[in-house]
Parts: sequence; C-alpha cells; structure tokens
Amino acid sequence: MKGLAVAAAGCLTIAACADNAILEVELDLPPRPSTTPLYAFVQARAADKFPLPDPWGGSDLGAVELGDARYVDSISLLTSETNVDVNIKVRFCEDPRCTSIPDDNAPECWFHLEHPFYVGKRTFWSARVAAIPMDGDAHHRTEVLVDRCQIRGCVEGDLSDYCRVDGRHLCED
Amino acid sequence: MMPAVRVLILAVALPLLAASAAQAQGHEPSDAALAEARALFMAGQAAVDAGRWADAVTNFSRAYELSRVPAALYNLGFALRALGRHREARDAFTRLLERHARMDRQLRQDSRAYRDEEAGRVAVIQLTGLDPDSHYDIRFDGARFEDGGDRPFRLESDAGSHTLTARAPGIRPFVWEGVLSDGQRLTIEVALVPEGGATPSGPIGPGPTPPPNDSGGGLLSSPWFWLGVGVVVLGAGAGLGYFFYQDAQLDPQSDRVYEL
Repeated sequence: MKGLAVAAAGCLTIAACADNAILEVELDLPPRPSTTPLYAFVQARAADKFPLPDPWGGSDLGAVELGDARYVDSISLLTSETNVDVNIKVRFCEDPRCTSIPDDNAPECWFHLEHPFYVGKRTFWSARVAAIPMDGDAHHRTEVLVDRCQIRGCVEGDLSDYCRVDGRHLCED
Repeated sequence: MMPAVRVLILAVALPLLAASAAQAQGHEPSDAALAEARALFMAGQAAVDAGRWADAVTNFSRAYELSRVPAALYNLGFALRALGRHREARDAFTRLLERHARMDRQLRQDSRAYRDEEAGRVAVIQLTGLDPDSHYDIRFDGARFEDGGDRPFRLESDAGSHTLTARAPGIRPFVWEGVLSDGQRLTIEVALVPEGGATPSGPIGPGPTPPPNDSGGGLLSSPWFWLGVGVVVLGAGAGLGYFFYQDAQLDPQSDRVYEL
C-alpha cells in the first residue's frame, strides 16, 4: 500500500511540472506602402531543420493584412523541444498565402533566434520591421541574428542582456 | 562561453591598481596597504579564474578597503553579480559611481549599465497590514530589519528561498516562507492575530481512535480487497496526474499560436 502511495505521489509530482516552453513574439509591422493590398505572412520553424534560404512547407498561421498604420502582430510559439534555435520569416505578399506569381520574389525579413526556449518558462522577443525591404536591399531581404542573451524572460524589468556573468541565460536553472 | 566580463576585469584592473594612489579619493593608503591590496587583488583574479566567486568577493572587498581603488570595487560588483547577490552588486556599482566620479569613461558607462541591470534583479517584498502605530520585530532569514514605521514596510532581497517573521507584543508571531525570483515584486498581507484570540473550536487532526472492528478483519486480509484498493488508487492517481499535467502547462498569451 505504501508503494502504491509513493507511486501515485511520484506521478503527481512529475505531472505538476510544465514540460512545454513558450516564446511570445511581437512583430511591429510597417503600414502598406500603397493602396494595393499587402499581407504579412509570418512563418516560424526549428532552425536545424528549416534553413532560412529554403522554401518552407507545412502549415502556417494566417497572414495579417497591412493597413495604413503600423500593426503589432503577437504570436505565441510553443514547443516541447527547448534546445533549438528558431528561424522566422516575415514575407510581404500580395496573396494571403503568398502563392501568387509575384510573391515568388516577395520582400522578406529573416530572423534567426538563438536558443529562445526554456522548459517551463515563458520568454519574449520583439522586433520592429521599420519598412518593407524594397529594391536596393539584397534580394529584397534583410536578415537579423538574435543572440540568446537578447531573449527576454525570467526577470522583471528591461535589462541590457538576459545572461548571467557565466554566460547562462537567466531562464536556465 | 568565456564571459566577456572576465576579460574586462583583467583589462581594466591592473592599470588602475598601478595608478591607485592617484585615483584614490579622500584616502591615502600606505605603501604597505597598497602592497597588501595588490596581493589581494591578484588573489581575487585567481579566484575568478578558478570560479571561486565567494573567495573573489572576500579578496576584492578587502583590496578595496585597503586601497580605495575603483577597479577593486568594480570587480567586487562583478563577483557579487556572479553569485546572484544582486542587491549587494547593485550597491557596489552605485558606490563606485558615487565615489569615483573621475574614473575611466568606459568603465563608468559599463558600471552604470550593470548597476541598472542588477537593480532590475533585486526582489522587493512589501508588507501590508502592519499597524502604523506599532513597531515590529521584523526578521528576514534571521536578520533583523529596523521597523522605522514606514507603511507599507518594504525590504529588498535576492532570489531564493526565504523566511520572514514579524513579531510584536501581544501578537502571534507572523511567519512567511516562500521563494522569490529575480526582480520579483511581492506583497505579503501580514495577518495580525492577538495572542489568546479566537482559536479553532476543536483540535485539528484525527478524532478519537475507533475501537477495532473485529467483523472487518476478514475483508482486510483479503487480497481481492487490496487489489481493488490498488486499482482505485492508481486510477485516481492517473486522473489527477493528467489534470495536474494539463494545469501545469504554460498557456499562450496570444490568440495566434504556432507549435513548432
């Protein structure tokens, strides 16, 4: 009987621990440059399986139609695999699914986030896309690398970086 | 990863120590004191290299006492930061900025950034419910905090497990135990219960032990009975486990959710 109680208690203890991780993303998107409808199509993938230069298959969130003013798109990224980097693409397309022919060369903003997830922790990252990459930018693309110490979380207030002096992130136990 | 901080420590410390006499403010250390400070400083460096941050704190602290060299105080702040003693680290950087206004511009800029960073990691506890006209014996992890009568009463701490007690004549001791995280702001409502006040109407715990039930002895000795109990306990455990598992998972803040 004592063994049963211990087993049950063990199950409950394990079950009471979160094993997922969430990255709350905020993308401050620019207004559309003309009256032509334009959509921001945001994709996120594990970086080790989906390099930024490759086209990505699979399902994605619906696109956001850009308006006359800036718009902050909030997205929660979930995973249970926390030892991953994340690639994010923001594509500015004429079609909501970026499937029209001109969208093959749609302007894109690329972000590579280094180790943004920690088990049982909520982390935050935000970016401001000042303007849609236009002619003059290489391949109409911009690429930003986000250091792990710039991923916010596990402390109140804004810090200059979120790592300890020994290099561990504040969300690391 | 090799912390950039250590490089900074090594880079800035020695030149500044060499110029100690010129930089010390309002304090002229003797040659003997400077020599001892230099030895302590080097010992602090070695402690940092070996990851013995607590020893580094002792060495840099003493080196600064002797020499008043800003580099020693700067390194002391870093060592305290590495140990998670954010309140003391903040105070060290604050003291550095206040006492050594003429230090190197880059060092000053860095010190200011680290002071602000450490300030953000200090946890603050606020006690409400204390009588403004009474003075309490408030202890945090055993250390006494002077109750100057300010309400709500505030104290600062670093992250970790802590115990707080509040005592006053005629009042039952109030005890709080809990865990603080970096930068947490916590308000604790202090329950003031007069000594000898209302108490639970009866003892808490099991009631009188019932006399043994001879008629149940046969059931309790049956393996089928215990098998049934086992099934019920495991089933209940599995059900509760699933419930707690679901309850413990983090919930997304946005309606737009994507699972990698």
